[in-house]
Amino acid sequence: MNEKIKLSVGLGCIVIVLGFMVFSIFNADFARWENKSIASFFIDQGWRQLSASNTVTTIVWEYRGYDTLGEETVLFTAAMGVFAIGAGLFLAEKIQSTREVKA
Amino acid sequence: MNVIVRTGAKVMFPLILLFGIYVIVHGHTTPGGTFSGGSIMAGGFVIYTLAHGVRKTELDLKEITINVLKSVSGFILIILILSELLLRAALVPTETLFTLWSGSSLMFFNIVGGVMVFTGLLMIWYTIAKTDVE
Repeated sequence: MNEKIKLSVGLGCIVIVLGFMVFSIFNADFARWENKSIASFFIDQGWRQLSASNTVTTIVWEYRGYDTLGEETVLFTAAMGVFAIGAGLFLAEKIQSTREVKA
Repeated sequence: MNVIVRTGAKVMFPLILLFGIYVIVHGHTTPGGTFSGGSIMAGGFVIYTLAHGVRKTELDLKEITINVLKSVSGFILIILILSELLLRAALVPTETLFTLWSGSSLMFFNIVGGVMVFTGLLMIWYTIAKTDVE
């Protein structure tokens, strides 16, 4: 019973998200270029406000700086996770030691 | 590896590192920046490791150095983001477009973030490369 509720809730969430995506693709008002005012704002004002000619870096490190801080945190955590998993994982030695134990 | 690969790696390694540093430092004027520059620098070390082995690479750049560098650069990044307002107010009047000295504090962000990406990828690569040591 509990698993059925979980499954139906998850499927409902997926259906809602997919429906919103399809709706926004076929919604002509959403897809029009002029209505995305934030893009023209970045192109017009980005180099004026920060005097940097690379607008991508301006967006990545200034307008969305906290997002990039989160990205760096994700990378840090991934590296630490791989390090933690692999620190005691010298495969050749481990296989050899298990063979010795078995023999 | 044989002598052809070793010589090629010896020639290419400083050039790749230099190109990575260029991409990181010029991240606010030309295409590129933190992630691409850090990946290029880590790729140079990957080529060096493939040619000479993990043991010789560890003599040049120890793993504890990478860990300390990564932690310190993460700490500096948080301090930079917290002091962003003061930094930008002090830097913006002295800038000219299309030169190296532009884009308020973007260059410092790029350098610190590039070091973080470089050390992170290199830490993953060292761990993967070390598991195959016989």
